[in-house]
Amino acid sequence: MSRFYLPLGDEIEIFSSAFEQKLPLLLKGPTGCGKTRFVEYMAEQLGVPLISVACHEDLSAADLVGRYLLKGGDTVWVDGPLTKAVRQGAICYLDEVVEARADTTVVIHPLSDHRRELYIERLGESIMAPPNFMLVLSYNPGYQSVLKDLKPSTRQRMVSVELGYPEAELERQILVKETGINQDVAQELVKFANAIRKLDVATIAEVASTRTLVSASRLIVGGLNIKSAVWAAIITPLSDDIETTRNLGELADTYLD
Amino acid sequence: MREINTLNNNNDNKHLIALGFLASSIVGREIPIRYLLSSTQLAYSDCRTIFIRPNTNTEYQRLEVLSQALLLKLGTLQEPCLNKLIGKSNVNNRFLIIELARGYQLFFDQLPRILLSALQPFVLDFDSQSAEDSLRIAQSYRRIPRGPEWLGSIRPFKLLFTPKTSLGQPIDNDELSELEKKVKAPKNDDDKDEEEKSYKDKLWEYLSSPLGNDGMFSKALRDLLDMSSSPDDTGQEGSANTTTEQVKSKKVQYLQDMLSAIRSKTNIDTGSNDSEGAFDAFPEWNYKENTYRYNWVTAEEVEPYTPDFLLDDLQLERHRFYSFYKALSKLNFSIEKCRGESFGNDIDLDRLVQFKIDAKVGQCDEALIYTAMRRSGRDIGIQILMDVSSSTLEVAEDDKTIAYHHINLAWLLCQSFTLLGDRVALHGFHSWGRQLLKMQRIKAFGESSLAKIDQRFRQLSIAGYTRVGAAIRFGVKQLDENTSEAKKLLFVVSDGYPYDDQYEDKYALQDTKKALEEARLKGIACLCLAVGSDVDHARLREVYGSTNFLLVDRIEKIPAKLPKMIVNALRQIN
Repeated sequence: MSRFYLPLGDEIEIFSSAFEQKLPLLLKGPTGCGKTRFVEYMAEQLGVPLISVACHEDLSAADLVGRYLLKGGDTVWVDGPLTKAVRQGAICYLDEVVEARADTTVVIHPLSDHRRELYIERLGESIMAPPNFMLVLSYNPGYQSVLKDLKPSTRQRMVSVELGYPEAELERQILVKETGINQDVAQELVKFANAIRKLDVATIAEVASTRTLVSASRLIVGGLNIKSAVWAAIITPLSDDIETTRNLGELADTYLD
Repeated sequence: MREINTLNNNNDNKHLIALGFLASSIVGREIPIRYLLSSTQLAYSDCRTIFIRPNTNTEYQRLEVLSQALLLKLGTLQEPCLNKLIGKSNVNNRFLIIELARGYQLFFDQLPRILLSALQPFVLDFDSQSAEDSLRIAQSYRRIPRGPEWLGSIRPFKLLFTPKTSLGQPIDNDELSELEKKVKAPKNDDDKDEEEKSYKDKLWEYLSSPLGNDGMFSKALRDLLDMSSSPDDTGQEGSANTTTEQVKSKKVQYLQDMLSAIRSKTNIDTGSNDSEGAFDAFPEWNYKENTYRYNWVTAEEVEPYTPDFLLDDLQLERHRFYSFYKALSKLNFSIEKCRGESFGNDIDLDRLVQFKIDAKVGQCDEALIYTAMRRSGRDIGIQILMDVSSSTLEVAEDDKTIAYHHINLAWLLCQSFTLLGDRVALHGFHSWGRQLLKMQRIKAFGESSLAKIDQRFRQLSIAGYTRVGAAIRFGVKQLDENTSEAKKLLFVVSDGYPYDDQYEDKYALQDTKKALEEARLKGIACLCLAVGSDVDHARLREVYGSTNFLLVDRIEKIPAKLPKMIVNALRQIN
């Protein structure tokens, strides 16, 4: 079964066009708005393999490019995910790229401009990227301690698409299509999520994402009652502050009565 | 009339906070909920707060909050046409229902079902597109059902007059020019002639109109015209006299600013005493008797909210950000574990293995295989206090107001420190006497989002006076309660002229000094930053000490000097 993705704007066109023109893409958007799903969907549509890397603060250039490993008494070279993607012509998706260490930009830069070339220092080898190779980075501007902001020089190499949470009606359709939940319940869930998104409260760092709504819907479709599902999938993950969760619970009582 | 929390127990507060969440989820900004004092009144909102009845059940209270929040979302309560409702309770009730019906249709897909189904019986198709439409229909002979009590009420009088200005009647041009002339050239006590007296009486008549309750503006005018001074400056000589002169010229400036605001038809915030209920009391130091006046100043933390911002042309100087960021990033205080070092305290096994492998394939890099303890962490809690009294509306040499500089400087500091991972809170402060110190919260410690800051800056009210001592004590309390960082810093961004009702000259300076001393005893380093102010160095030095203030004419001079000052100030604490 192919993946479901409902476009919010012209992101599909931009992605396809960037792929054809061999330009790297930067996806911006809050947690759980569908960045990863979008990339998966596009890879499937374009018929190109996808290699995803979840970046973390210890991720170095060697983790992306590859390294020698010990096997018995010998050393063997093992390709990293980026090298694999370049060799086989795949979409390489670096999720939350700003989390990675600064030296990773060294390998990303020559790949993301006209050179489209990956230089592997350890092997003394340089690989030209085939036409099917595409670099996609994602990042969440409101989320990182922006101490690790993307360098302007990296940013400017990218074509960028900004995703947000979908409009109420679209989000309802997404829930219904994705989980098979009842239309009316989906509508109430979306209303509740939008209420949380409007809240001006210091103790909530994030808001209810489309992903949490999908999880809640899944639980409901699975037979859990609405309130428990909302507590488990939306409210409790949002905050550890007891007062805040209690107040969110009351908000849920009002919206999902 | 002042609403207070009648049932002050803990549970009740929690209940109100939960209802506040509900209102905020509809309006999109923080809306505190308070109880009405009188049980005969209906729920209403003054744009900032929603007041509900304490004596109904939770179900109705929720509906009261929801319907008032809907009015706020619609913007009904800011419509100028509300003045046509004054004194017409019948039209008022009809208008309320039509507006709620308009909201019902407009926001059908956003409102919770309980409100929708409760409103349903009253929602006829009124075909109203705007508040004016609604008003016209309300004034017509059309049949409109009577609403239940939980719909609440609209209080046009309160909305139109109390929060914005206490000047009751529009002032005409001649009067204004005359007033300006007077303010520009205040006369000495000696030459009070008959003409002036009659003029003053006229002014008083105007200022003590039914709406102009004894506001600070009137008081300031009285002070100025009578040149009456507080007990503190009797019998002072020499330098004290010059400071009195300075303060007097500040007073004149304040009035001039007020008048130019009236001229430009800006709504002036004269500090309404309608409170949201959450107060802090702070002591003040009385140097004459060498004692504290306990619980002397009442401070209230509020969300900035003025519909008309005085500085429409506010543009944050974002291009300066990197210079601040870079300068402040050099401040490192605490010790952190670093990996991949060429020498250090311990061996990093993963890296050692990798290094061995590299050696084996013949690629030998530098042996970055140690972990080391390095001084790199920051661990600072920072409170920034920004003076937004009306004296900051004065124009500095570069033709920009001091408030403009204050906002920019506070923004740059707040943004840089936050992005460097420090915990920062930012408040704008101003006061109208000792009972009304308002701390406008622009960023709280827990908030991680910087996006709201811009908006709050734009809703900042700039008015009133400067009671620095109490503001500092407020900041100290915030740092004390909300941060567990090893280092604590308090910035006061001010023009350096503390002045308020019964808070001037030596009294003000001594109290400020005392407040700073208290802060230091609590391990908080304090720094004063002044931009474009004409205050003299000696005055700042006397209060803040020789190294803890920075007076510059341009913001761009700050980054070079600030890191050293911060290190110095923190050293004084240790």
